[in-house]
Amino acid sequence: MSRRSGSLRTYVITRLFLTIPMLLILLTFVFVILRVAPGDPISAAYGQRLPPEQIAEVRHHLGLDRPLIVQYGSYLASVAHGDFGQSVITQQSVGAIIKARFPATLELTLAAMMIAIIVGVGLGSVAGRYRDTPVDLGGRLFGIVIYAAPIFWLGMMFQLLFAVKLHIFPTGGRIAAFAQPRHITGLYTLDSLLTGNWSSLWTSLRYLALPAITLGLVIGGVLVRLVRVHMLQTLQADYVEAARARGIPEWRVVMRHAFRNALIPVITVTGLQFAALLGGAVLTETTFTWPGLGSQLVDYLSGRDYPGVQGIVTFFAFLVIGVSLLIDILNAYVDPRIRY
Amino acid sequence: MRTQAPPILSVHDMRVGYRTPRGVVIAVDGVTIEIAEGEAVGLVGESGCGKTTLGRAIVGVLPEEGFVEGRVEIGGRDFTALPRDERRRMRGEEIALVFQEPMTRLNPLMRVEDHFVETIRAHKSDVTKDEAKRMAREALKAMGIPPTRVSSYPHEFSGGMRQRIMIALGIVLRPKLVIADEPTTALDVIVEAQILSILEDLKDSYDMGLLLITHNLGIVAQTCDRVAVMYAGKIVEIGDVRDVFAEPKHPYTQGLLRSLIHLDTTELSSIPGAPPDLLRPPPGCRFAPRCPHRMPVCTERVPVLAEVEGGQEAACFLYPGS
Amino acid sequence: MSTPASATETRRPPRVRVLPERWLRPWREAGRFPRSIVWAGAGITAVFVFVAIFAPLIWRYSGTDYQNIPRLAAPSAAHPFGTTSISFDVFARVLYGARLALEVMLLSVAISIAIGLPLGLYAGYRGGWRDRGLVLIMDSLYAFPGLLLAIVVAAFLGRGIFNASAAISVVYIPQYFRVIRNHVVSVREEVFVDAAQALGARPRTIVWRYIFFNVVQSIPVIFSINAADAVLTLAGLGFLGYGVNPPTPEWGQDLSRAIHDLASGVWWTALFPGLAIVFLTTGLTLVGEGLNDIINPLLRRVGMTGTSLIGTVAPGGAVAGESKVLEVEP
Repeated sequence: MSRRSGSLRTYVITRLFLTIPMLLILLTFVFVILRVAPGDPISAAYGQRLPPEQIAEVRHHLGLDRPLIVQYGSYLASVAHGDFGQSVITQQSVGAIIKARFPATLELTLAAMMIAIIVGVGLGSVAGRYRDTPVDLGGRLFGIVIYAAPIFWLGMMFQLLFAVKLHIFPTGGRIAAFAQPRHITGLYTLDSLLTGNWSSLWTSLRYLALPAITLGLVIGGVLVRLVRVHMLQTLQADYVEAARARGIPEWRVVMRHAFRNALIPVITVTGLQFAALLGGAVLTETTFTWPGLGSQLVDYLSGRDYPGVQGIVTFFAFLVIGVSLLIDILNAYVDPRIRY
Repeated sequence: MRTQAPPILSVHDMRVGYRTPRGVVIAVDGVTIEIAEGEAVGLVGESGCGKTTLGRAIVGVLPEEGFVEGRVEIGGRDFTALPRDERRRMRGEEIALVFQEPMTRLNPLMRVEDHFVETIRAHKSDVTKDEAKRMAREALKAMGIPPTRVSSYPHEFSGGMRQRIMIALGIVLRPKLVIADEPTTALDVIVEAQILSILEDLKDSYDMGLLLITHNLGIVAQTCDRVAVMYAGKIVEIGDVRDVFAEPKHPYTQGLLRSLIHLDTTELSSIPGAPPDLLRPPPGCRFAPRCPHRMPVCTERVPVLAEVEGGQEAACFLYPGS
Repeated sequence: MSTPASATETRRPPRVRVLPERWLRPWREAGRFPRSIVWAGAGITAVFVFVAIFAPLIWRYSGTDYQNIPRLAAPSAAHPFGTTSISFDVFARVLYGARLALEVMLLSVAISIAIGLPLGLYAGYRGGWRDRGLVLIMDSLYAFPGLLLAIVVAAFLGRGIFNASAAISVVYIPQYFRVIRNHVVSVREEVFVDAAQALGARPRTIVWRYIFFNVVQSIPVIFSINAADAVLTLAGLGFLGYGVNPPTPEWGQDLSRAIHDLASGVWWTALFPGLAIVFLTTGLTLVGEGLNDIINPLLRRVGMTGTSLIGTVAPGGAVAGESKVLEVEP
């Protein structure tokens, strides 16, 4: 009747195996949407400017006239090799673009995530602890209104206030050309820290501030409500009541029993928010002309550069599945019940 | 039975209610009861009669919408008048409450030994971690749980073992009174027998008072010295366990005992009707609507507990003094 | 109760009905606060619905009028929200934008429910490999950023109201599916389903009625959250240049044009469409939050501590009529 807890290792291995079908499904979905769409990429991109024979030649060169199944197979094969395709417009390898611009997106999302966690977990746990007080209501209202504000609009309002009117922060871009730190990781703030380049650090932070705060606040707003609910549930839990009955002091009951346990679903939720973070990053990068993968995707889309779009979306799919895997493993590490 | 020492528990005219969206529900209405040192008292009644609420109210762990009136004395001290810190200290150290539902009463993220270390050090801060773990192992050994399991997580134990852990947690600090709420309801009869014998041992070895809350008359007969029968928030009969079970005085108790099944039972007997809605309790005696001996006075006045014969009390107009 | 004329008369299996009072019980039992949240949200939403329907009667300009309108005029009596760089009246754009927002919202939510609900019921009820397969597909879609999914679909379907709605609905189908399916799975295991079957209830139809009734309770909450999300996603699509064709008034598109105005300190082209989005979304979300507060705490409170509200839910249905959920007709 009693059960031995599975080891963390078996869990990780099993979970890894499950990743593959999910990835496959997403990749298939990407492929289907892009191929099944009306019109074909080449005509859309070059239709007006090239004669039909040249268009046919380009199509053949890119392998777009082969049967769908073959194209699908070759797509999966190239993805397995890390080849994300080639942009139709610029002829550049999408993989190279990803390598160049991913650090920017990474820096933005990491900074935003930190802000989101501080705001979300902080406000959420306080709201949950002091249920039905003005603090609680304020926290909930903040969460609702922030969520209702479109990221790009919030960004624009911040730009208006802090950049245009008050001149504290720049309106967009990532850094002034001369202020770039030496390249180690590609994250300017980190690189500046690592090389001790304080002026560069200051500049990168100034450029990072508004986009990261915008994105971070919005995601944080979502977290506030989720953390609050989990906090409420945990505070009512049976083992919390039992701990009180044993004479455990209230502060310890809240910290050790309620808060700690409430964090478990929060880890999951934060991981789930990563997808929202990525979507939000696309909007934020466009608003602040932040040179990351999000704005690149939008460029490809407006240029009808389907292979480019396919490449970036594929990469995003990998990212999302990868993060989801990491979160599950983290969860299993923290909560001994989850291990298989 | 020691009558010189003050009773370990003295509850006087306790009323406990809950504020619900539909109004105030009084779950315990004017209960007075005493438990002496080393005495085991059973508190029986059907679901919803208020016995769990009574247990919780005594220790002071009611949910937010609950409120308590009346006096509770533990070891001669007025518990309800003490400052909050002092009450917190007494919980676990002088009075312990063992809950139902062992499955959800332990923190799933904490090892069993951590539960003990936390409890012990919350009351005796000078005890080292190792010393506390040693006490934990001893307490669990007394419950029949091997010391090697001490660092396991709660979900690795069965329900019976978890209940034993709960009881061990309750007694590790040697409280003078243990309130056990349905401690064996979720368990099979073999484990139940083990736990009851452990409780009896504790009572004999440490002079521990026990309030055993249950709907199972059998275990009360086996383990308790006295028994109190509760119905709709009031105690309707109380007395020595042998007297009450051999010659129940209150019609409700009589009905309960009649409905027990033995090997030679040929016909099922039950009490017709259902317990009243405590939001709007009936006037007079609450059992009157279902009582075979109902008299006009029963719906007019509320009967009080009065001695019927040799220490046995009943709240019924059939007996003078009510 | 009719008595059979003869012992050999066949008797229909008893029909089991779910009492309609049960529907409103959570609402009636809820405190003042969650109810006022719902009313507030519904009120805000109602304002937008009103505006959407009666826009031509409220304001003299339409969203696409540009004759005789000054460019980039600051808010004034003639143009309360100012004008844009291509001489549109911002107030009119906001009013008419409500129409589009509500149309697309309703359409996309309808599509999502129409696909997600039956799939969820099917997967939950049938179980087995069909269930697992669908769950895997839906989980994969759900894991992907919603906006990106919508963008990709919208970019390739092209513009237009229906295409935009379809793109948005794709994002929420997995959500409906998951919630419904999980609910069905848990209700399927409930004892009362067994009990109904033991009472002789005809398996398929009666059980559908049970499970459906139970599961349908979770729809209103998702519906409002969904609706709120749809408005946001539409705005996102518009902002990036997808969704509907210009010059149809759409708040997101207006915002994308407003970015260029910011540098010159023009604030009204960005502020007002954005505020419209914030208010409508807040209204819808409040309805969802309020409903959630009402429906959930009852379930949570009873389940968590293991004890029911003492005295009010006595066995045998002592509480007159209120706790009866089922009724067996002879």
